[in-house]
Parts: sequence; C-alpha cells; structure tokens
Amino acid sequence: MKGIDDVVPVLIDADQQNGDLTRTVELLERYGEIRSHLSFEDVDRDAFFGTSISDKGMHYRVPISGEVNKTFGDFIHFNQLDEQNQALISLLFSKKNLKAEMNVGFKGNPNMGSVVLNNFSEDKRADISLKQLLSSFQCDDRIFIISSIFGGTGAAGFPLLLKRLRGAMAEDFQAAAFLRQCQIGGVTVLPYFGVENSEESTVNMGTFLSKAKSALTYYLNNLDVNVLYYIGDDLKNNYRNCEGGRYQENNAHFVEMAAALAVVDFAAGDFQEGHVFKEYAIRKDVDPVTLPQLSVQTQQVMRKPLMQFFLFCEFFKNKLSKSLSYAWARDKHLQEAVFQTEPYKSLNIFFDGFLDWLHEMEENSRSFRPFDLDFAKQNPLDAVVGILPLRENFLRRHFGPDRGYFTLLDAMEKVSVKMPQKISREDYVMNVFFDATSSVIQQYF
Amino acid sequence: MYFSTLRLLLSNNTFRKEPMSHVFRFHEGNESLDGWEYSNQYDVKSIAAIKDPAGGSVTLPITSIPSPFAGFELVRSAFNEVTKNDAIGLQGQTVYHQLVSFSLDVMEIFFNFKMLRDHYEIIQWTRRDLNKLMDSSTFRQLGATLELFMDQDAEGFHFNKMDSIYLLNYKDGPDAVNIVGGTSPTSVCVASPNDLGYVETYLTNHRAFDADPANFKTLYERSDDFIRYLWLLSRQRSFRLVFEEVVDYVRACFAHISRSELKDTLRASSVDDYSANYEYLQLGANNRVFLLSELPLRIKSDAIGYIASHSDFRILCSKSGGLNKDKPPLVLPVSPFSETKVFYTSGFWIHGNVAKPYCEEPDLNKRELPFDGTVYPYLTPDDLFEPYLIRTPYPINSNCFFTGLLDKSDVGFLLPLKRRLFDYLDLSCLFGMTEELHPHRIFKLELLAGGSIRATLRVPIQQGRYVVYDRIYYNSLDMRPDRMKNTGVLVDGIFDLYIFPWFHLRGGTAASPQRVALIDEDTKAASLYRKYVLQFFRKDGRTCDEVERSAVRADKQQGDPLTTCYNVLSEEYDFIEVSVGDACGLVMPHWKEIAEGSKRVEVAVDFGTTNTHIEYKIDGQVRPFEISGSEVLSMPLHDYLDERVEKLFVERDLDYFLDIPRQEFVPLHIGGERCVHFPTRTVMCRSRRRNASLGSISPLADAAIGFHYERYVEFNHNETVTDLKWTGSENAALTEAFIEELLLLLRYKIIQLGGALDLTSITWFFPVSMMPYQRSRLSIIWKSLATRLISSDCHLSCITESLAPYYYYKNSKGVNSSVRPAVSMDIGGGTTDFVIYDANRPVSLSSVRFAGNSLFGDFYGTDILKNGFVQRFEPKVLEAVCGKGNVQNCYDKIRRCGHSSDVISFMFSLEQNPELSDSGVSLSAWLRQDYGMKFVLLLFHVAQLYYVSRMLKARDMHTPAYLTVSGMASKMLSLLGEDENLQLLTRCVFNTLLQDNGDVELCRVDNPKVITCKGGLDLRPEDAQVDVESLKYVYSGSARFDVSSHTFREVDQAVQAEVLQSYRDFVDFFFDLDRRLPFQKFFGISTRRMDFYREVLLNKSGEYLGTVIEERIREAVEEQTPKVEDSLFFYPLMGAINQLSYEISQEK
Repeated sequence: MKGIDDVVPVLIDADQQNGDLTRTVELLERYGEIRSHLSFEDVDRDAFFGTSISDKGMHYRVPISGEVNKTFGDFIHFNQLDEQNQALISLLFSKKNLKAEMNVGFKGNPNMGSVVLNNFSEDKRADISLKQLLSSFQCDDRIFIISSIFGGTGAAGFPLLLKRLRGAMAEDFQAAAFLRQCQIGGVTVLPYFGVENSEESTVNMGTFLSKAKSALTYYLNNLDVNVLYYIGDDLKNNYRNCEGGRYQENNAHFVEMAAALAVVDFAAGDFQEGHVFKEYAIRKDVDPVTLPQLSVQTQQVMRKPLMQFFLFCEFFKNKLSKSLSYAWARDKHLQEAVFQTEPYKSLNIFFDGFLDWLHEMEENSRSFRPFDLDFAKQNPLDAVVGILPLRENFLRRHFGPDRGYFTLLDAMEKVSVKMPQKISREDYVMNVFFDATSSVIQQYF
Repeated sequence: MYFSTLRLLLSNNTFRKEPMSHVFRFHEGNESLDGWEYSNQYDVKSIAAIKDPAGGSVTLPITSIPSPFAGFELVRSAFNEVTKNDAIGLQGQTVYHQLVSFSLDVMEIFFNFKMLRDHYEIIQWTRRDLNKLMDSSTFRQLGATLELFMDQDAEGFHFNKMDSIYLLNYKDGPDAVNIVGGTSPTSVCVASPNDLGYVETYLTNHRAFDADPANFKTLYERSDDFIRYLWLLSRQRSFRLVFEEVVDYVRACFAHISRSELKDTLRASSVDDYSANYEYLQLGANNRVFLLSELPLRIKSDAIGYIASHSDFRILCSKSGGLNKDKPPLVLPVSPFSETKVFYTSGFWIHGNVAKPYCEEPDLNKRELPFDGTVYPYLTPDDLFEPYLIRTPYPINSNCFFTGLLDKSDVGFLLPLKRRLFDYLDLSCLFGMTEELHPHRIFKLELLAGGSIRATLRVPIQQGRYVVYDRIYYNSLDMRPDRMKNTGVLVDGIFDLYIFPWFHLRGGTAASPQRVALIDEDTKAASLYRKYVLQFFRKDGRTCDEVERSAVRADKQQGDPLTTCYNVLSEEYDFIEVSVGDACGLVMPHWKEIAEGSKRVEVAVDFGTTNTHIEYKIDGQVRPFEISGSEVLSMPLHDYLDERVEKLFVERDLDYFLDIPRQEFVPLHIGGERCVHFPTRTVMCRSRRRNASLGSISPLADAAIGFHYERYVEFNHNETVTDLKWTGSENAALTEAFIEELLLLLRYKIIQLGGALDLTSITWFFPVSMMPYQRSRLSIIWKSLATRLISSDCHLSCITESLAPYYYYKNSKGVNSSVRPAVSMDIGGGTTDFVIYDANRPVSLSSVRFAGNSLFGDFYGTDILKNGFVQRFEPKVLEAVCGKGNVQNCYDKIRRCGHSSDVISFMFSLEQNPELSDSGVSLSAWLRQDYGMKFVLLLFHVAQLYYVSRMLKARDMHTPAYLTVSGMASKMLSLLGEDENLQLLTRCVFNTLLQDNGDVELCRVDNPKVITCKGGLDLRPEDAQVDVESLKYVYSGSARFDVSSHTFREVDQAVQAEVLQSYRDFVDFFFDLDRRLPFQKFFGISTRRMDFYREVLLNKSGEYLGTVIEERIREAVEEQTPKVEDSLFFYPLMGAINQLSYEISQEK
C-alpha cells in the first residue's frame, strides 16, 4: 500500500467465537507466513504481499472482555448503588437491559456495550494489550477504525475506543500526546444486509435503519475523527438470524470490500487539518457489479492488482505443475516437491480464501462479479467480466482452451531471464509471477 | 505502455468519469461521486431523509446509540424526527411519537409537581454522585464510562450546560424506587425506557405514559395551561440555545393549535411571563431545581396549595388529626360578609358576594369554588345542618347534655348538626364561645314565634374570624325542608335515652362496658312504624364499631305499648346520632371525666336465695350500695332534676320514660328511703318474647335485675324469674347475668367513689348446703366477671354465709366465745345455718332446709289456698291495696304465680311501699297482734332452738353465752315478742335440754339481712379460712342414722320410726315448755286449743316424713343414690307446721 510502512490490523470483538473473526485471523496469519519467506530488498519494486502487516505479537486481537457470565445489572453492581446513582441508571437503562445476560455480546444494545467494553483499564489483559499495541505509537502514525453502525460490539466500540484515544492520559499511555493529536479515520458501515425475522431474537432487521439513524444523529456531534467514511446499501439479502457465536459466518460482501478500500484511501490522503466525510460511489446502480462499473478511482487503485493476483491464483492452482518443465522453473530447479513446502502451502490456503472471497461476493446481493469464476479455470484471461482482452495480439500465438495460461507462461519465461541471480528462490518465484501478470495485463488490457 | 493504456481508455470507456453515479447511501444528495470521495456529513436533514421502511411501526426500543446516555439522544432525535420528517409528522403512533409524548408527560408532571407531590419525589443527581462512583473500585468502570461520555460529549449533549439531572420517582409504583423519567440536557425531559403502565397519574386530558399508540399526545393536544407554559419556557434564551429540537417542535405545534384565543394569548405573551407566572421548583430551602445551569425550572404555582395555605376562609380545625389537613375546606359566607380584607383565593372577598347555601356536588373534593373555579373543598350550611330538627316532648337535661338552647322550654331538641362538622371541630369547640371581643355561642338554638327554631353555627375560620351559618326549622306539618332556601322542618321524636355510665374514665384504656337504653313511645298510628336507630361516634366523627349487641325487649310493632331497645358497647363513645326516618339529630353528653381513684374498696355481696345485698367499705366506713342524689350512674336525656318533667310525663302519658329503667335498666336511684333498694329480691326480669336461642345474656340489655319486683307493676312484655340460685342449668345464664349486673353497678360505683379498681376486694357468700361443684361453678363466674369488669387484680374471696354474721356481732356488738361458746343462727328463706363457736372459732356447723319458706311457704302438695298466712291476711291486704292500681297489679301478678312465699314476701314489703304509706298496712303489726298465728312462729323458733341444743349436746357443751340471730327470716322473732322474753325462752330451752342453768344473751338486729355483708367486711383473712366440710354436723333425729354417710335408700322403716319418735319427743317438749314459760303470759299466745294443735302436729307426721323423703329423692334426680344432706328431724314438722298454720288461720 502506498505511503504505508506497516499496517497493524487489530480486531476487537468480545465475541471470541465469531466465525468471521476466526476466518479473518487465519488469513492474516497466512499472509504473515508467506511474507516471512520474502525479502522485499528492492524497495522500489511492486510485489505481491508487499504491504507489511504485523500483529505486534498480539495475534491481531485485543482480547476485550465484553463477554461476561453476568447480567448487565450485576456487572455494574446496580443493586449496590446509592439512591442517586441507582435513579440515574434506572433512567438510562431499561429493566430489560439490566437483566440482559451478556455472554453473547450486546445484541444490538451498544448503550450497554459502551459501559461493558470500557474496561481497558479494568481488564488487565485488554489493558496490557492496548498499551503494548500503542507503546511504539509514533508522531505520524495513524489509526483507522472500521465498524458497523447498526450492530453491537462494533457500534459500541467505535465511539468508545475513539473517546479513549482522544482522551488518552499520560498515565495510561506513553504516547498519549500523539494519540490525542494523531489522524484518526473511521468507516461507519451502515446497514447493507438484513436478517431473517426471528421471534426469539433480539436482533430485528426492522430496527436496522431506525437504529442507524439515531446512531448517525449521535455521530453528528459526538465523534472526534479526522475523516469519517460512510457506506451502506439497500437491504437486499437476509442473513441467517443469529445473535452471535460461531454460527455468525456471513458471506463476504462488496460493501465490505469498498469499506476496506477506505483504508487505502485514508492511507493515501492527508487529513491532518480536516474534519471531513467521504462516501463511496460506483458508476451505476447495477447488480451484479463488475470491474468496469467501479469508479475510475477504485479501478485505478485495485483493478490491476486484483487481476494480477487473480491470474497468479488461477495459474498457480491449475497449471503450475505443467509449467515446471519450462525454463523459468527448470533452471531454478523448481520441482513439484518445492511447492509442497512453505510458503507455498500457506499461499495455497490464501488462494483458497481469495477464491472463497470472490465466490461469496459474487453470490451475495448486491453481487460483485469481477471474474467469471467457472470459466476462469479454462482461461483466466477471458474471465474478466465486462472487459475483453485485445484480440489481435492475443490470437497471434496461442489457440485452444489453455491459451490464457500459455500467454502467461510466455510472459513468465520472458521475465524470468531478467531476474537477478542472487535473490532467493521464494523471491524469484513471487517476482516472476508479479512481473509476468503485470506484463500480460499491460499487454492485453 | 502509455499507448496501450490510452487505447484501453478509448476502447472500453472504462475510465471515463460519468456525470451521474451510484452512491452507497440511503438518501438523496450529491450523486456525482467517484469511488471514495469527499462528501458531507450525515446531518439532521440527511438523516431525516433516510427512508426507513419500518420506521413507522418500530416498537423495539432503539438502543443503537453507543453511549450510556443513548436515551437522551434518542428523545432528542425523536423530537427532530416528528418535527422534520413529514412522512412521520407531529401526530402519529410511531416509537418517535411515543418518545415525544412520554417526554412531554414527564415535563407535565414536573409542571404540575406541586399538585402531584404526594405521588412523586425528585431525586437529584450531580457530579458529586459521579465522583462517588469513581472513588469506589466496585463502581469505577461505570463511573469512568459515564465520565468519559460526559466529558467527551459535553458539547453534543450539553453536559457542560447543566449541573444536575433530576429524576422523578413515582412513590406508588411496584418497586422501592420507580424512576419514570427525568430532566435531560438534550430534550428537556426523558421518560424511563421501562413499561410505565403502573403509573396512575392523570394529566388534564389523558393518562401519563399510556402505551396505547392511539393515546400518544402531541403538545397541541394538551391543556392550554401546559401549552402556554412550554411556549414561554421555549422562549427563554438559554433554552433556545440548548433545546433546539424542542423549540422547533413547540413552534411546529403552534400551527396546529385550533383555539384562536390561545394562539392570541401565546402571541401576546412576553418572555418575562415565564418568571412572572410560574414559581421555582424547590427541593429544599436552598436547593432550587435548574433545568440548565442558567435556567431555573419554574413550575405551575400551586393554586390549591396556595388556597390551602393562605385563604382566610379555611376552617380553623381545632382537631389535630382532622380530615383534609392539607386541604382544609373553606367556609364561605352565604350572606354579605361584614368583615373586610378577608383573603379568599387570589384576592380579598368582595363584600357583596354570597355563596349558595348548598352545593349539588356531594364530594367536597370535587367542588369548584364560587367566583373562582378552582376545584377545592368548601362547606355550605347544607353540609353542616340536618334538614329536620328532632323535638323531644320534654326538656333535655342541659347540665348533662349540650343543647345549645338559649330559652327555657318544656320541650327539647336534638342537635341538627351533621357529623361532618366533627371532621374539623372538636366537641369542646362546639360547646364553647367565640373568641371575639364580644363572645357569642359557637352553636345555639333560638325559639322563634310560632314554635319555629333558628339554629346558628359560628364556624371558626382563620384570623380569629367566624362565618355564621343559620337555618330556620319551621314548626309546620305541611312544609318540607328546602336546601336551596336553607330551611328545615321540626319533627317530633317521642323517645328517651338512658346512658350508663354517664362519665368517661380519664386515661382509661381498658374495655369499658357501656349501655344505652332507648325508650320509644312514638306509638301514634302515623308513627307506629317509625324506627329509632342509634349510632355511636367518637370525637373525631369515627363510627364506634363496638356495638356488641342491641336487644329489643318491648316492641311497639308487636303490640306492646312502647319499644325498648338496649345497646351494648364495650368502649367509650363521645356522641350519639339518633335517626328516625329522614330525620337525624345528635345527642352530645357533657361527659363527666372521672379519673380512677386510689382508695381501697372492700365489697361484700350476699347473693341469697330470696334477697341479695351489697355493702362496701371505704375510708373505714361500711355502707350499703346506694345511688342517690345527683350521683346517678345512668343518665336520662330528660331533665330528671326538673320537677316539672315528672308532671309533664304524667300529663303527656309518658310515664314509661320513668318506669322502664326499674325493671329493664339501671334505676336512676337505689336505696335511701326509696322502694328500690338493696337488699333486693334475687330476681331477673326479661322479655317474654326473648330469643330462646340466645346463648349468653347481656345484663342491662337482654335482662336486668328486677328492682321493681314486689314494688312496682311489671309490664306485660316482661317476666321475672325468681329462685336463681338453686335451679339448674336452665337459669345458669340468668344467674351469671345477675352477678354481671351487680359487678357492672359496682364497677362504676367504685369509680364514682374514687376507688381503685385494682385495689378492690370482693367477698361473696355461699350457703353451707351448696354442693362443692355448684360453689366452684359460681366461683368461676365470679372470677371471670370480676376480672373483666373490675380488675384482674381484684381480690375475690368466698365464705359460707353462716360464718359471716357472727363476726358482725363479735366485732360490732361485743359477742365473744373465748370463755363460753356462742351460737350463730342464720335464718334465711331456704335454709337455716347453725354454727357453734368456741374460742371464736367455729367448731360445729349445721345447715338445714327449715327456714322462712318452711314457715310461710307451701308444703309439698299444698297450695296458696291451704296457706294459713295468706288465707289469714289476704282479705286485709286486698282491702289496703284496693284502688292502688300499681300495687294492686303487683299483688295480682304475684298472687297469680301461686307461690305463697312470694306472696308473703310481698305482703311484708307493703309497709315500706310509699303508695301505701298512710294506709296502715303492715303484716308485721298484724302478726304481732295475732294470738293464733303467733303460735306457729313460736313453734318454728323453738324447733330451731331445740335443734341447736341437740347440736350442743352432741359436743357435750353447755348453754352458750350468746345466741346471735341473723337472716331475713329472723325478722319474725321481733313479731314473737320482746327481746327480754325471747331471751328467757332461749335460756329456758337450753337449760332444760342441756340440764344446766347457764345464762345466754340473745343478740339480734332490726335489719338482719345486711349483717351477713357487714360481717363479711369485718372478717379477718384467717376467719374465712375454715374447712366447712370438716365442721358439718347434722342431727338426724335417729341414733342409728349418720347423715354424713347415709343415703335416702337407707332410710328404712326403723329409721323413720326413730325419727318420728324424736319428733314426738320435741312436740312433747314444746307443749311442756308452756308449763315452764307460759306462752300466754310471755308471748300473748292463745293456748285455748293446745290439745287440738298437738293433734294436728302429730296426726300425719309419718305421712309428712314420707312426703319430704320422696321429694328429696326426686329433687336429686341426677344422683343415683341421693344422699341425705339435712336433718330428717324437721321433715315431719314441715308438713305439720303448714297444716297447723292453716288450721289456726281458719279460727275465728
């Protein structure tokens, strides 16, 4: 990512069982594993896995304990409060709030969450983690917070975390002064999916927009961020209604990808003076969304890398073994067995995750369909939906179903000979693929 | 590369920016964005523009705001939503409307707090309370979070513009603390997120927190009062800057107000009206409620509270625990008020204003004040005066009852006042005078021309003023009361009351039995079906629910000439409400307050077969029980001290008012020279129509001691039961009631005397012949009744009646048996008790059923026609009572019941009867002069002396030093002769039979019945501790027969023969006595037919013996083997003496 030395993703969820959470952490760990075998000595060259992502020894999580086997009332010791405070709490929280069991998060009650999650200083683990995380915080470092507005933990945690950071005290944090001044961005994901209606559940889709509206009103005056990204979409798909836990494993969604792109945008921009707001647009209100429908800016940022990685993925998964007899591999003694070891094992898993991601986005609604995934196995070059490769060049050399692969193989053969001799085998493979895919895309698209 | 890129652009238009795009959001806005591009904040407008398909029907609480103060924000956005979002609108049924409606409810409760303060309290929460949380490790996380949000969101939530949050606690809710809402720096007020269905607060036109969406109320649907208030509040500068959304809402509502006059008022109002029209809400002396740091919360001034604390027309409650303490009713003038500068509700009362004398609304609390309209209680004359004034046919005793009557009159009036008055005024206030320079009576009744009455009541109000209410009661049969004209009507009530007792025990807490007699002589055809009802009340107007029983004895509707009804209460009351039909009046006794004294009172009760007597000792003096002079125990409503009244009663044929108490209630007077006195006959008088199923009998209600018996005529509806002591369980309840009445009388007599109930001791007597079980039954009755009516500390002792008289003689008349024995002979109606004392201790005791009734009564199988005494003297009696209606009736009645002993008893009583005082009737005198009948008296006396001699002989004793005589029947000794001669007779009998020549002194008194009591009072404790059973001796008349262990079955022919022989020995001795002490000479007794008499005495002696044995066996029907309890010796004589008296009576 441009302008960024190191990205430190931190996932904050009191719901440690959450399926989406574990999936994400696994992929981040694979990413780290792959990257650990690569050197990136040439700082000027672009490369796959080029962005440094680190966990600062925390496995990408702050183990916040919002998950308590107590009712909310017991948690705050309601019955022991003096008359005045009991009276105030009775006004602020309903009896239902006070009786709510909290072992499944806050079920869309971020007002409770705002109290329970505010335990950085009370919960030793969280306290240490957050201090550790921010111990090396530098003057120009930035923080970006991603959350949905209509949920539980995230919705509660975003403003809370923000307030903690903005109100950081020297006794809590070494870098308190930097924290108070640093650029903080956030993306607020408004509703973009629904849930199936359930009599038993306290999560009710009908309130998603009402909730979002009242939270937005709260954000209006009570959110001290430099830049706030808003995104949301029509509620086209109903997810299975579950109040949390391992069953909460929702399909990836275009909106989430767009939200992730906000990170890139934030990283690239300078919002030091600002108190600004951004929204996301595509060219047309279509479903499915294809690459050409993305905005110019988005395409500039992600079209080529996405296509490169997709080609890499498809080739690696489908044609790698057949290509090992060619010079690019033969000269470097890259036999099949090499690809059974790390980092290729992890790479393979990462590709699986990548393809799952594409599949899920395609199947979701609104759908994002950059590639025709079924067709891609035969010919990844022809699988980019909405964009045809330039025919004349393409037809010049190869025919038949595998012509896309051979086109890429040609490119690989070409770039491999230009590779410096001293680089490691892992760097070699990664650079060959990067340069080859880059050249193919430049040549045909 | 550049080329290819360019080509790519051209060929696919991929990178051409198009003017329109699709933005990922929910509202309309700048649509020409590209990827992540600068846009605007979601502001109020854009948030409102988000189309929320479910927004209209959201019911789940919206809790998405990630702040503990979410609720504050929620309500603010709800105000915004209904104001700005046309799709939702001001009026509707969404959750936003609910939030707004409930928030307004909270505001309105604050606004009306002065009126609602009974139901709500305000709890103040300040930063100090937050610090308390921070200081505690338990609450730190909560405190830190609240602080974090209050600091960080200080601007957005205006936490920096307020100092406190005020929370409304609903005191009537289900939990200890029920917070229903509070102030908020975002939206003025918020309601609790809980279900508030339990709140029972009604604002002007709806119920607060009604969750039914149909009942959500906008501001413009609320009261003008509140709209005006919020309008003014929303125009305050600091309010406008902070509560923008509420201000916008109020303005939006303005357009919807349909009442143009209200709109005009709002338009014309000025910002300053807020401070001018409303008062501060204070939590304490120096604690004013501030909505914002610079904006004190003002609320509706409490018009009601102001009146309640300022109006000069508030009734001056003289009672500490009066009703409506927080809202004392006003007493408004119904005629032009002469006082000036009397503050009414918001200004002075206008001189010419007059309130109506009545109000249609019966509930004081719902009345609207005249000339003001505030709902506030006020009183009218119609609330205080009854429509009818009850007139009694006699003057009411104004010394003992409050009458308010100024003038002398030969009629009386009940107080025509409603009880409601005593919710506010003390009785003493009513009885008193105004505290003016020239005092007036608080209440008075004045006679007007034509017999009408004016009742005037000066009701005390504030500042020492009085409002005068009066009502005229017309003396007219044709008129009806008219509340609009404030007029009433007189109505006659022909009744009288007796209240017993008529004093209150000061500081007394124990149950205090009360009786109230109602005598209703309202028996004209028109009023026959009128029923008089009494209700009893305490000072504060509270009903006295202690009426235990109400007994009707005479019933005019059942054909009796009157109705009598007796109320039994167990606690003191203060006044009585008498109602008859629509008419109602109060009887207010001037209760005499008597503190229980400290004097020791000793009481002796001789509860005898025929007569009962009570004496008591106080301050060392022994006196009989009397009620005399003004020291009455029961008080009639009529003026009993006014001589005119008795005359009036006779004139108006209302004698029952005087006569009834003698046989149904407590006689006004007892003792002295009157007919009604102790000793009195042991009888109970009850209604013939009594309820047979009645388990217990309340004395002075169901039945009463018949003080009238033998003295006054008995009413037809009554019957009198005699012989209480000896009959079985049938009359057990009556016996108990008799004792209870004695103790009731004693209780109040002791209190009146200044005696201490706790220190009272009671001695009662039982005859020697009484079975132990009978005695223990009586003992239990005495104990439980004395505990209940006198005191649990009351000392009770019982002693045989045979022993007591001796101690009277010993202590008062110098009798002493320390050298030689003394004999006590107590001759009662049923039994004669003989006791021999040696060294002043009883050594032998014998009780025989040969007494007054054996002499004057009937023998088995004979009746009044065969009774010599009745036959002899009846013509003379009839002659004397003839034409004396009352006495004659009495006599006829007693004569009809057929017991000769009762008839003779009555005949003896006649000489004391005031009705016959100058008729010369005296059975005693006649007997004294009757030489024939006196023979029987002599025989009777000698038989008893003979028996004593046998007793003495059995113990080898000689002629005693003294013979003391007592008992009612011992009176007949005075008929026999002079003491001197009687003494000679006594000595002669003893000396002859005991064969010595010792002297004996005969001791007797004129009123022998009372000395049992007197002796009892002189008894030392050790004198009473006598084992009667071990002293018992019976001379059976048969040497073979020991009474103590034999039964009647063992009385065989041989025994009978011996008894008859003993009897014959006695008869011989008796006639032989005439030689030693000639009867003619010493007693003026004719001895002309002595032989015939001897023949009569001996003729059927065997037969008589048999008859009595048979009867005794029959009486002891419950015993399998009836034991012989008394002397067989007297059995033949019992029949013989009866026969002899008859024979003599037939002599010319």
